[in-house]
Amino acid sequence: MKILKEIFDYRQMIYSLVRKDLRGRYKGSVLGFLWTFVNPLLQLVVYTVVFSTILRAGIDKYYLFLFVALVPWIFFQSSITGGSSSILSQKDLVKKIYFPREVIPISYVTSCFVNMLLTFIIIFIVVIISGVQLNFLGVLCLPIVMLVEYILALGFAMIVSAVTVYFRDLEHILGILTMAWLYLTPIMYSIDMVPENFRHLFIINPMTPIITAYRDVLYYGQVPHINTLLNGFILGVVSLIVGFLVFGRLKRHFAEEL
Amino acid sequence: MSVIEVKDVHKKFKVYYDKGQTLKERLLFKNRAYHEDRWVLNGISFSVDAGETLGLIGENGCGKSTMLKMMTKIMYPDKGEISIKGRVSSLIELGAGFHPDMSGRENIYTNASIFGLTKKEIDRRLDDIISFSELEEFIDNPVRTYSSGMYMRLAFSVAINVDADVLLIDEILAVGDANFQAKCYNHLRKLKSKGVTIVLVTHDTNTIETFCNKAIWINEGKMMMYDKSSKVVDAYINYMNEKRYQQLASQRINVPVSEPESCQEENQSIEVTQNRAVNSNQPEEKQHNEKSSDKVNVIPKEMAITKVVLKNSEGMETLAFRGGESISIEIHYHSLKNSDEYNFGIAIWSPEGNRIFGTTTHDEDLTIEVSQGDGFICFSTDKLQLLSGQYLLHVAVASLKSDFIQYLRDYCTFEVVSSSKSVGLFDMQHKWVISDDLKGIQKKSNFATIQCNEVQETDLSQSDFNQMLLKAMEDPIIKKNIAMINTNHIRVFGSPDRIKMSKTANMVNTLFNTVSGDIAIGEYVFAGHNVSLITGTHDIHCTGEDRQKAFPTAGNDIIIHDGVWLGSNCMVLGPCRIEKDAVVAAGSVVLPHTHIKPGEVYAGVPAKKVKDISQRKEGTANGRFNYSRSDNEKNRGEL
Repeated sequence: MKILKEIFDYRQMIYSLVRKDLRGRYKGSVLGFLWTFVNPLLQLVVYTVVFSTILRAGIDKYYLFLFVALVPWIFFQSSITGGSSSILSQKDLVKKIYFPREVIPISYVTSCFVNMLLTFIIIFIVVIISGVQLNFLGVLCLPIVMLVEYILALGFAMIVSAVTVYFRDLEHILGILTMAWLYLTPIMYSIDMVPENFRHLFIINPMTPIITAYRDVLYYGQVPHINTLLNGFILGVVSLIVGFLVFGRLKRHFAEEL
Repeated sequence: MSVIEVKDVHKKFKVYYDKGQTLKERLLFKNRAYHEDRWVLNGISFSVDAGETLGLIGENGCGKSTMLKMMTKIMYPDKGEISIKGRVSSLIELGAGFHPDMSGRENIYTNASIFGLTKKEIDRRLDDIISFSELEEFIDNPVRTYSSGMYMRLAFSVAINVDADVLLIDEILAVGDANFQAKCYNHLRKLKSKGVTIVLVTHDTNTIETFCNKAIWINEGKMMMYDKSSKVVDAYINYMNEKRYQQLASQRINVPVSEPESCQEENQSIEVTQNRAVNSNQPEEKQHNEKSSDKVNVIPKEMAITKVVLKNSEGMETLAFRGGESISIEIHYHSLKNSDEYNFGIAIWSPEGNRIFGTTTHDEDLTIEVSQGDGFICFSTDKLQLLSGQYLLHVAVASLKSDFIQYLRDYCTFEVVSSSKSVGLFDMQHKWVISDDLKGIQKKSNFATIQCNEVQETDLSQSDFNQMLLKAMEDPIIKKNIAMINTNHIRVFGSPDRIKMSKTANMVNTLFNTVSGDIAIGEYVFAGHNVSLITGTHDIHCTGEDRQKAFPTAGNDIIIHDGVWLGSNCMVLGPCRIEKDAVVAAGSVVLPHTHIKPGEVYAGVPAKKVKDISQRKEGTANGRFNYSRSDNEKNRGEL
């Protein structure tokens, strides 16, 4: 509890780091901050071209089907892979200054999260243009889904960022792991396409309920199942608690290991 | 109330011989993961009270920065406890989190937030920070356009404006120009006076001494000393000097007996001696060479310096010396004949090419009789009055006609390690006298000049003293009194009413002169024979009007407090004050404006403070005139 209060005291630092990250990301490029929007748009164009003319998937509006799931996934993936090296990249701070170490993964994940939120502007535009009938209650559920995903991503990011300090390979291993994870999550396909006897494996995957919920709201235009939300929420909280515990244990020797 | 409490803190680091960082390395070379625990801190305990300033000093790698890092909670101790009350701010890293593309103002927010400040708190301090950094014009420019000095100034301003109860500072005050540094120190002093507790890590002993109340000296993870900062700094400097000396001594134990390059001294009046390629071991051959050259005034090489040996006080051959210890320079030579026609010389030069000292046997009117074969002549001094640094030694031998036979320029470099904190090259023997000793009797400014005279006169010999008396006798006031020194009764010159003497005072054959002032004598004052108390003499070198000019406001009185002991034949010249239980040794002359403090012992002509009562001269009934040079020197040694 003490640590939570301390993190709260350092909220300005989280804010500063996030702002620095967002502003620094496209600094010097011609389009600058616009890239935040251009990037997903171009991605969308590619998917549309590939999946509606070349590789027909047999799913209606497949580009949208993929897009609404892929954007949240990219947030999750970058939180983990980028998050794992977040402590290492702030080496100088960690070695020289005291602050609650949790601030670093939190601000990293938050900056990814903000990025995703901005991309959602594009998503909404696309969703409306493609004529999906949005359910009002469903849209209200969306912030909850995002929050659950945020908690989950934060939990994982904290674990991997702390472990990476001691075990640098993790950063590279995670590259492979998240790729496998991408294919084991119903992003490019729907959960219905998974054979019945494997399906329970997908339930353990914490990303499954989250992706499902996003798609319910934005693709099918319905309210996500309460079970789905609950499932995601429990997995998210568990990962966050484990994340804090692991991080709290490992952070004491950061300065020596870096 | 102690703010910082450090209890028996231990810290170890794992030192891997060869740590496998990656999985492959760890799996394949499991055995490589050998590591050694190195204890960098062993049982450090101290506590710091609120408002105190503590300095941590020690060599590189002694663990002082680790200690500080543990106090900031960047690291945690393996054993022991650290508790700090209040908000801690650490100035270990400046400009943390600065982004070069963001403006100075934005960076202030980022940087301050890293110290844990909220936006409101930063808003409140923003103006202070900007004005402290003196960067008002540039504050909205990106930081990458700043010069490094501006960068550090901004960074420091943020760090120092973070309100904290405890401030931990690591070696970062070497920022900016001298003005800004002074500003920083002033600010730190202000914080100090506000009751902020400061812990400072630095190598700079000067900073510690001037800035900290207390200091801790850490050596190899152990606390060597925790005391007043000046004491700790002295001990540390001594230790470091000794260490450096030992290092140098062990490196240089063998003086190179290499062939020193022989050079020629330009000699204005005489043709230069051709002295090329001196082969010191074969003087005959050299002689031959010389003869073959066509130079006029060629000196036959019947004399050559074979080597020069430097020895320290223990007689050890070395090139490292402690300042103040004795040094002998042995010039070994080989001569082909018996002769007394040689002139040996040495000179000590600074590396910058300044001669610090040089002398020759001839200049000191010494005749050196050299016998045929090998021998050496030794130059020695009891006290090497050089400060820390490197010095070059030149040696030379010449004929009495002042033709150089051999001039060995830069024969060797020797190093002096001095514990003196003075700067420069030469460690001048000196002392300081503080005018406070005379407060109440004499104004400071006047006193300073008198002190100078006195310092010069510590070497008074018998004849000097006689002269002083003669001079004194020219003074109309003293003149009369001097004549009466040998009288056997108490004599009073001037008004007896001006004498206030307690009944218990024991004064025999004393002469009182109250012509220009009062004399007060306390209880149980004991005076020997022939004591003279003469008021208002001021300085015996001054007469009449001069004196009035020099000491217009000086009192003229002699005040002798209770229990003072005045030895026989001593003379006390007013104005002066001798406080309780002080002793004036027999035969001494207490000059005007002397203030003898309680229990002090003064002896000599003029009377100077000596260490304790045993230094008092005994059995010199007529001590005033028997005062000898050796005693004088003895006293001086004690001062």
